[in-house]
Amino acid sequence: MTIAKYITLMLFSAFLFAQDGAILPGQKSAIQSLSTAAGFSSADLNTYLVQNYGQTLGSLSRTQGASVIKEFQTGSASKPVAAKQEADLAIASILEVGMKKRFHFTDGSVRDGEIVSIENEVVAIKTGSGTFNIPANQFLSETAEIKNKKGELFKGVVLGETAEEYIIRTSYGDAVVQKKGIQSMKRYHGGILDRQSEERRKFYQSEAQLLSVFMDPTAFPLTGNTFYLSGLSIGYGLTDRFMITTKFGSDFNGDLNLHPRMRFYHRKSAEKEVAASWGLGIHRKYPSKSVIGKYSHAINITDSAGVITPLNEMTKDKVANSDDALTVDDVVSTENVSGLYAEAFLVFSSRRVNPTGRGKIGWTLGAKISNAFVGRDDIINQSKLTPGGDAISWSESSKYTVPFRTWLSLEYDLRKDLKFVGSAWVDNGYKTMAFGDTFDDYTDNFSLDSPGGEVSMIDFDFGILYAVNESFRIGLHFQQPYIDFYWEFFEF
Amino acid sequence: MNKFLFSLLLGCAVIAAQPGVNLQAVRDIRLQNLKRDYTGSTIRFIVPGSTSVMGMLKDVTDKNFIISHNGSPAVYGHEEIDYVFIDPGFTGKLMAFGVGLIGGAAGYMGVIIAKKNANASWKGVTSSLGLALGGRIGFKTFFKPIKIDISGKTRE
Repeated sequence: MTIAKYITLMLFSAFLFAQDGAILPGQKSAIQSLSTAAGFSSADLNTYLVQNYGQTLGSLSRTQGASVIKEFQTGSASKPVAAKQEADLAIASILEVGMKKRFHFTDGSVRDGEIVSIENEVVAIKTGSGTFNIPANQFLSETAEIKNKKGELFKGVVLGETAEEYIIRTSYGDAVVQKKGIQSMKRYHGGILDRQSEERRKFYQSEAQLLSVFMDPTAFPLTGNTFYLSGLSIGYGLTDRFMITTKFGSDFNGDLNLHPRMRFYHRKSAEKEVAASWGLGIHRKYPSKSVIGKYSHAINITDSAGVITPLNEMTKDKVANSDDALTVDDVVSTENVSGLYAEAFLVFSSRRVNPTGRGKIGWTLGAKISNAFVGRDDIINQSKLTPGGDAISWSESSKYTVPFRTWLSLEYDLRKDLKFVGSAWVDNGYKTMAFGDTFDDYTDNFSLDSPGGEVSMIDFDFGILYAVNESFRIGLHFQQPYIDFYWEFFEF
Repeated sequence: MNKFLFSLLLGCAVIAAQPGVNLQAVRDIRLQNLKRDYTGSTIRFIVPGSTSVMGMLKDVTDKNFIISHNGSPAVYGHEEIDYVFIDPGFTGKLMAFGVGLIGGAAGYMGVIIAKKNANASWKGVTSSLGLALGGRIGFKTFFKPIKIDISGKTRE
């Protein structure tokens, strides 16, 4: 690669990783000015930040910094009454026989267990390490502030938690809040915000809900009113079951295209969610060069001696004499440079709670076909011999009768913000490409349609996907396109 | 109505006195959700005496399920019922069959790519294996009843 490409790549990487770095000096000074104007002392500000974000000013992230500024600007930041001492920690107001959860105590210890009895203010709690008799005033209260996607805010004591819902005792009654509908949540133990231990140890599902694994779709579409932007396409969730994307690189080249996806089957329970979807892709002026590039290994070049060589073996780097090399331009018909292209897929997906209680695991099985081989003889220049005097024709092999791809992909939540993904496929148009070639292909026209690479029709790939923040995801894996990144903006 | 709710709350006190955190408010919300999401669906539940009851859910009242059996309504008290099951229907079978079909297609495609001049036997065997494996996974995934918790319990 050239130096310019390395610089572009580094700038691009820096841009991606700058999505949620440490707080900016400008943000710090803005917070200090705004807090002073709101009557906060330095100690008040520190207490406020620790209580609400679990961090001091210098340790906040850029996103948190923006959030704090917004709170001061909207006047929603209230001055803490006083710095809390250990003795002032809020004590649990509700303890009942049968409560089974993670209990936090005033001395900082934590125990998983079930309350088996309460007598004379002494609580017997049964844990995996034995039964303990603990005074009731040693149990810290567990409260939460939950904001759901409708904008409702619930504040109260956490009575219980199941795989699917939280039960909160608010001042006006008990509320059952579906985890699926939660937009943000703050959890407090003894009145202090808990950001670390519980979220990392146990989480219901990761922040990233996959629309696709690498380039293959899952059966779960975008949620309604969500905007999607990736390096190849933009999209929108029109309803919870229907979404549309378009490949903007092709759009700008006159090949207007739409890719609707519809979830036609969905069942969900506390522990499991299954779905099935169909999808279409329609391009009005799909370049014939893209079809030839993708299936270059299915195009035979027959020389005057009758020796047959596939087109992908005739590139400059693979032939001894560079005059014998062929490009897609040598093969494509000058009359049919583009045409109507359609593809359709059917996909089934399943996600379930990991038996360990940490996140979810899921799989997707799908199949896709296209009309790329309809009239395929018309898109190559059969009548004209190439400069080397060779004849061009499509392979008659049965494996090139219909363009197809089937895939089986897997996802596994490693942490709340990190997912392992893998995929295996059978695809009669797949060629594996080096990173540099992929980069060249992408920067050429913001799409992946290079004729290069080595034929690898049965293959697999794996990698990780990291949720940088609520809307931005980045993934790394070992086959093209190597890097995935996308944004999802809810209620755009 | 207020008297009725008051009576219901008194009833809750009895339930809440049982071991475990069993809140009538939570149960009420879950019953409302069941009514909202599954009215018109075929549900199944076990009544005391281990008798399984199945029918189309017509309504959920504070104390009863109203179920339709072959067009005639029947009333079952739900006070002692903690779980309701929604059995997969014909569409569940179709989904399982669809997964099997993709498995079969993958087997066929795999063999024509991996084996040069694969004969009909090879194609048949790999397609059948793919179909069987996909079908098995499909049935295990898409053909399972959904278990709905309508108890007032707030713990897992």
